[in-house]
Amino acid sequence: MTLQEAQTAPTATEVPADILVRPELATLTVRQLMWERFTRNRLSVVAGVVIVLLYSSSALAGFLSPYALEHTHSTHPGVGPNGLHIIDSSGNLRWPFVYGYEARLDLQTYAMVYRQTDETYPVRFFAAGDEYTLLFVVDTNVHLFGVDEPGKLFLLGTDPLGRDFFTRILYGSQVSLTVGLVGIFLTVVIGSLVGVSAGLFGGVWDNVSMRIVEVLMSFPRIPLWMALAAALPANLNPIQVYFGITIVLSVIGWGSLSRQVRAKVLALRDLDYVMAARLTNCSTSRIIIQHLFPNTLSHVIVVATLAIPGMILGETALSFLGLGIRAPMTSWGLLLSDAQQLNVLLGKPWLLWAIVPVMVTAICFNLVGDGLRDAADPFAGE
Amino acid sequence: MPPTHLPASERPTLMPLIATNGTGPDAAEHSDDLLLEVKDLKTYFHLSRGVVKAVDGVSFEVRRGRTLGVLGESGCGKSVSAYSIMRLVRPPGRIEGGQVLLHTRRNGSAKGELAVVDLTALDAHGKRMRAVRGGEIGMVFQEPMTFLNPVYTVGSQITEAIILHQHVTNDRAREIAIEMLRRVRLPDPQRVFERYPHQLSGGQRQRALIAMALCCHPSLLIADEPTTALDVTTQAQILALMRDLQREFGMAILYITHNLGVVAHMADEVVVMYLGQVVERTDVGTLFRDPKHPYTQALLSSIPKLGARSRARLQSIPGVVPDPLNVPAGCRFHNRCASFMPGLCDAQEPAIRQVESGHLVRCLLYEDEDGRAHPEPVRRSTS
Amino acid sequence: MLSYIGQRALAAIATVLIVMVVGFLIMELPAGDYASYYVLQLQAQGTSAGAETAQAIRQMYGLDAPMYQRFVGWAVRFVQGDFGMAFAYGKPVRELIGERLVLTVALALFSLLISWVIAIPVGVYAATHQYKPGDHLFTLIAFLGVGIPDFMLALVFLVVGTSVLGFVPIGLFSPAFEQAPWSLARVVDLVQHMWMPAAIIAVTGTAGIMRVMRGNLLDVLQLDYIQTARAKGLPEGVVVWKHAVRNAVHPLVMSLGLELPQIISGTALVGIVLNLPIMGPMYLQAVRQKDIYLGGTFLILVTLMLVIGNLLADILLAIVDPRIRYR
Repeated sequence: MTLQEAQTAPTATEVPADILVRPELATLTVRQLMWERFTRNRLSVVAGVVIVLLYSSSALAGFLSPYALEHTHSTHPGVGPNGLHIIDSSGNLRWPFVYGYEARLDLQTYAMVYRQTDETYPVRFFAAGDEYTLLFVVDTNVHLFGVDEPGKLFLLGTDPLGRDFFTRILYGSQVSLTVGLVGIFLTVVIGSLVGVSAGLFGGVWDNVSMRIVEVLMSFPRIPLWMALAAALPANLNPIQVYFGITIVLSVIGWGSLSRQVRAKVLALRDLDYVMAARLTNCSTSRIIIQHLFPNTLSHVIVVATLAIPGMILGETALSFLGLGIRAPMTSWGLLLSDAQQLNVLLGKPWLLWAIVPVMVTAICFNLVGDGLRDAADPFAGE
Repeated sequence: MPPTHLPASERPTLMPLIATNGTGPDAAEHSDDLLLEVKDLKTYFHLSRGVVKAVDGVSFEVRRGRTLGVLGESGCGKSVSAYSIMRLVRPPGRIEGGQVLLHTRRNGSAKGELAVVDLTALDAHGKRMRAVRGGEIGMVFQEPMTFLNPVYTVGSQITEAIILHQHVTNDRAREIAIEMLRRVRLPDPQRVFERYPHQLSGGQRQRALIAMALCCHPSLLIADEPTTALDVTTQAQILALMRDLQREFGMAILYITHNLGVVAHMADEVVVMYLGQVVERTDVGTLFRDPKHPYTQALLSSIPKLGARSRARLQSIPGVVPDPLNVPAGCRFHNRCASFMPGLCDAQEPAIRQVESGHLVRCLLYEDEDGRAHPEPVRRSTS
Repeated sequence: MLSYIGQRALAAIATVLIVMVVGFLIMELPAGDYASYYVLQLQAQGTSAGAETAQAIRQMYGLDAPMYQRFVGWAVRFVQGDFGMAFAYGKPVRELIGERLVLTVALALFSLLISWVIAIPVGVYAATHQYKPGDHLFTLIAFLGVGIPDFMLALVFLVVGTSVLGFVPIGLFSPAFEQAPWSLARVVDLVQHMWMPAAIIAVTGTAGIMRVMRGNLLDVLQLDYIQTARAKGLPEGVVVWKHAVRNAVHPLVMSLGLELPQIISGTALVGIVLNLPIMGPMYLQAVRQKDIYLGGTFLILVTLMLVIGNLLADILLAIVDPRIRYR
């Protein structure tokens, strides 16, 4: 007598939670759905905006900084920030201005000591300053802000050679921010190729490549980076060093990505629609491009985004140790290497400001990566 | 872990096996006793997009030693009712109203006087409720694999419950557990005791779960679709086991299912639920012989019958269960009802009424214009 | 279970062999060897030195044999514990790295301990009080922790410690104990100095573990057997710690084998900034000077630690997870 009733009505079990409660979402494409979910996470969106701002200001570094990269103020090595003021000594509100510096030789330490004078120099916007090339194309000398000589606008002080630190941080971002991107690009390309081929073709290639990956991932990251970076020939020019460093950074990263891609491919390979594709005589490359690739893409994007901070931190660490980017290029890590010695650090603590952009970048990429990961997983949520 | 945190007045008394034997002298007196009364229970889930009224004014009774079947589709609120009784509903769900009255003798006094406890008034995590949970009311769930902790042995998970509710040593608990495993007809209970869940078959795991639910001799066993995940042969065995255990222990069973055949097999009384409400309530014989609510009628007619002409189409209930966030106005079943009366069923919400002795129905067909209930439909659908 | 362990052990041995080959190749990678570097140094100092000097050095150190020969010779000696010569110091590598390696591992272990002791309870708290202010606070701290590179934290700590707190946090021993032989007092002194760098190193790890623990526990708390535990009438604390945490901690236990070597390599940067007598600073120097045996040995040792650590983690998992034990 154990007769089953015929299942009468379909019940809503397998539908993702948010589509269940907002049916209008069911008509969006997967990409639109992901975007919709991502934008609901306000923290990630804010982080994303910050990242866009960072890269924009990096591209416009020449315009945003008051001086050119190599402008050495030999009269003002290692001075502290002189700060923007809007209230003068009499307590009146004024157009933003800076005080001047006065140098004096301290007869006991034989070091130059700098004091602020009462001379004020108003900040000029869209001021004429050093010549530079904007966005590789335009030769100009217009800066967003600056002060007339002999006033100095050192928002974050100068380094031991007398170069404006704020300027150097801005220019440094050009290297630090792009190294991560280029490195990730390499990682994604190699990792995806290896992962997809290992998952799809299996067999000996799968075994061999995964064994290689396992070995690569067994090596400790930072020491390996150090060893490889030091192995770069000494006679490379800075641009070649830049690319050399990005290659070094991608060497370990692709291993992890390829394993994840391979796992995804293995899961998808046995799905019905791939079999259907095979049965209709789809060529292998077509299967890869049309079926597997779009499905693994979101996963790859998430993994890549979350790996960028690692690369940026890696470049920073290598340059900090003197094994990375070389002068006259500059990066945040290189800026920090000036701060490595304790006596320098104590005397010039403003050099630590270079830490802030690194932290902000790393945190923002982490937030965006987390947001993307949640957006890509349709079954998260209540 | 002896429950020393429970003060003496709150520890459940251990009822010796003999007295709970349904064939004992007390059995006849208790058989019509009320054990559990659910009165107008409301459990709502507050989601960010709205409120889901999973249980919306449900009432029924369970009598000692008898089986109440709760019948309905997925999403009708039957499981949530069970969880509400056990106070296992987690946020964003909350019991918003109604009462769950447990008529208990386990209140620590030597004579075992009858007391009535409103379970909804207790602190869900408090000692009193936790003594009830697993002690007086046991629960068996649907999927034996996922409902057992994979890293502890089956035996240790049972003794954990025994030690919690009863005041015994580890060794004594082990004895009780193995005895329990024997009573659920597991061969070689000592071996099963030492096994891990993944080492047992589905049927064995379900028996172990039943043993775990019964090890403290609850007066009520709530079974939430315990055989759905099992194959048909094992299903039959488990059902037979539960019937035997009910006789041996004299306990009541609240059996939740969507399967009419199981209801016919197990239940003495049946409650039919739809979208959070009780739509019909009667004894099992009457339910099959004379179902009154259109939903019940449709359910019964959708069973494929042996001997029917193979060309005849399976009757299914048309339409879809409405979105629980957007419950339709009037009768909740009206958009799928064969006896739908436009203007009436979609405007007025029927109350549950007693149409004959022991038979309640929630349907406007059985109400006349003055609101009096009749055992036969007094209104006719115009369709 | 034995066959499971046997399989893993064999795989580990294979990996070890490949690691040694790859490690050797990496060591040989820099163009020019120690000999040419040494000659360059001499020339920079003004002494005249040329190709003959370089050749003599090469012969002295056996650097002119063909590569496979060198590899085999090196590998055989390596597994016997002879790690070669550190050219810059003129001493066997083994002598030099002995104590430093011990201190490195000690620091890493201490750091691991700190991060687990903090991260697990915090992660459990955050999961059981999801979305409440405590959870948000800890999540925020965790994000910051993951974003700050440890050597930067060390830099900040250095500045703050010296200028604000007035002490110089360098080194792992007080001057008195620096070169002293091992004793209980020395160990105590070590711990007193070690907890600061260990805490700095632990920051990133703690943040990561806390987030993973929170995520795992949230997942486990949704599982069915937690309902069973509650349905038995167990107090919520027992449900969380005995039933849920026990399962949620699994992936973390699995990653333990990976973590120690990660932390060891993580000590490198902090050690360089704070000038601790551990492997980091010595490794940096070796890498810069192309002192291949010194640098390479450290690299390969840490890698081997990771491979063995993985193996141990697998064994630990087999012991702890009955599903694998009784396969």
